[in-house]
Amino acid sequence: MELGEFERDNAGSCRLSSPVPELCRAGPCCLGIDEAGRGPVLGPMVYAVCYCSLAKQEELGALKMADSKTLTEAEREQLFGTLEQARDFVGWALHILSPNLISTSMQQRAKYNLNALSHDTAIGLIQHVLDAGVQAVEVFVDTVGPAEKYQEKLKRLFPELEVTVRPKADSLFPIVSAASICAKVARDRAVKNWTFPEDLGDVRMEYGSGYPNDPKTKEWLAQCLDPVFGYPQFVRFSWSTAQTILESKAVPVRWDDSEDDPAQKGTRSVLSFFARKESSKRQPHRFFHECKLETVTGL
Amino acid sequence: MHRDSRPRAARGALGEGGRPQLSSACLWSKMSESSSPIRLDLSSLRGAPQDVLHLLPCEVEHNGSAPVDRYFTPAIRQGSQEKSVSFRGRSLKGQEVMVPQGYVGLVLKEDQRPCTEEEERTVRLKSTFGTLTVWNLERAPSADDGLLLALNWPGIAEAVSTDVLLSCPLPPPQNSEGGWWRVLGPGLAATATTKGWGARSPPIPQRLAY
Repeated sequence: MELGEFERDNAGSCRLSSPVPELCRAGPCCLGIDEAGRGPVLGPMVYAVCYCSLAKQEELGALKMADSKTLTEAEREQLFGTLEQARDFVGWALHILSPNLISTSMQQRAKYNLNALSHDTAIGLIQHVLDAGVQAVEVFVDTVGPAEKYQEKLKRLFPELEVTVRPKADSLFPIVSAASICAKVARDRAVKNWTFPEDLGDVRMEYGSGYPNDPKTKEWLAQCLDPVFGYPQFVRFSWSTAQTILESKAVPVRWDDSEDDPAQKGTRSVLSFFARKESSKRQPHRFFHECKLETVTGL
Repeated sequence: MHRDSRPRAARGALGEGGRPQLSSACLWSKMSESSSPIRLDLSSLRGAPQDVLHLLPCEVEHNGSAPVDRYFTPAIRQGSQEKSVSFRGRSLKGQEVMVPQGYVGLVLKEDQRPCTEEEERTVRLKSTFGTLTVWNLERAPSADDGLLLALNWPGIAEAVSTDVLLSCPLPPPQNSEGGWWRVLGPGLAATATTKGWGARSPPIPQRLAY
């Protein structure tokens, strides 16, 4: 798994894939989809699709894939190595969403929530492997949000596939376990080798797991806070953990599109509509108004 | 924005043994009689450092320095069409804008504000700039944005106050209620009504009344 492409620009998103095994082009396959790094306040979220030729399902079972959360980092690395060795019947594709992309999407003018972002990423990955020539017939997905609704959505988009969306699918279906291992391995590597475009000076790079309740993560968040910029792009600004710290320790920032400005919400007094308009002052031509040009007479 | 006098000042300086011609200027407050003048100390104009300026689409409640070079500049990505970066987790798209030709941007600082209204105020030149990066939330700045329109003004002001000779006859004005032809520059003409332009600006251009 070569993350170089993502590491060169870790502000956006990046799709990586293994070569498609010949068997998966020739015969029917099953797909598994899972994600890693949904909860942490730091680092990317990684979506993975793993696929296997249906003719080789027994061999996949023999690889003893398990839910990545029940495994240690070393065990996951080892299992990922096993998957790489099974490359003549197993393939994978990843979509890495940078923390900057997550922050900016969730804090967009037209809000793009994490569930919608997750669904769209999964849909993009299914389409990606179909386009790559994988003969997919069934797909197993670990749910995000209500499973039934998500399943209906996927069925509508991919009527030719047999779709199964379940909570905890990563511990129920070996192909989803395999996907969860791919995703978690990529997320761990991306976090470990994160190159900060920012110059953080003396801040130590011991940020822990990135989960908000990890003491190391908490300490790091307190340490690298800048009152004006807040955090480097490695931090998900849209997470309440980050927002709470920013609200109390950073300088306030007001955006044009924010709605929580009480001064602008105030209703005008009824009387103000009947007040005599000031007509003595000559208004400048609207050209100046449109250009936001004003006569300045003081500082 | 200050009309650049540097070339002239430099020439003067050569002839007069290095004495700068442009040492200070006064901005007079025109609104009320009681306000004091503001002294603009331009003695260091030629030696002033160039600054990198970013105009953000938000209000940052902070007056002072910030580690722009460490947190912001290195994260800017140059796309094929526009620059992009994020600030506080919001996506910004930017465009580099030139200060109008013949002008120079000044960053001024008032070291100490006088205690009373009557005292003269002095602002010091901190740095100069020839370009600035204008950032918008999520969409790139366009020619319709306020600041970019405002920067057209020096050119328009110059055009409307320059005498031009018309070599072709003008058609009658569109507006029968006191419409005027207003000459905007070589080959450019526009109509404006008597109510149109403000009292002080622009300088009254040539009028061709029908």
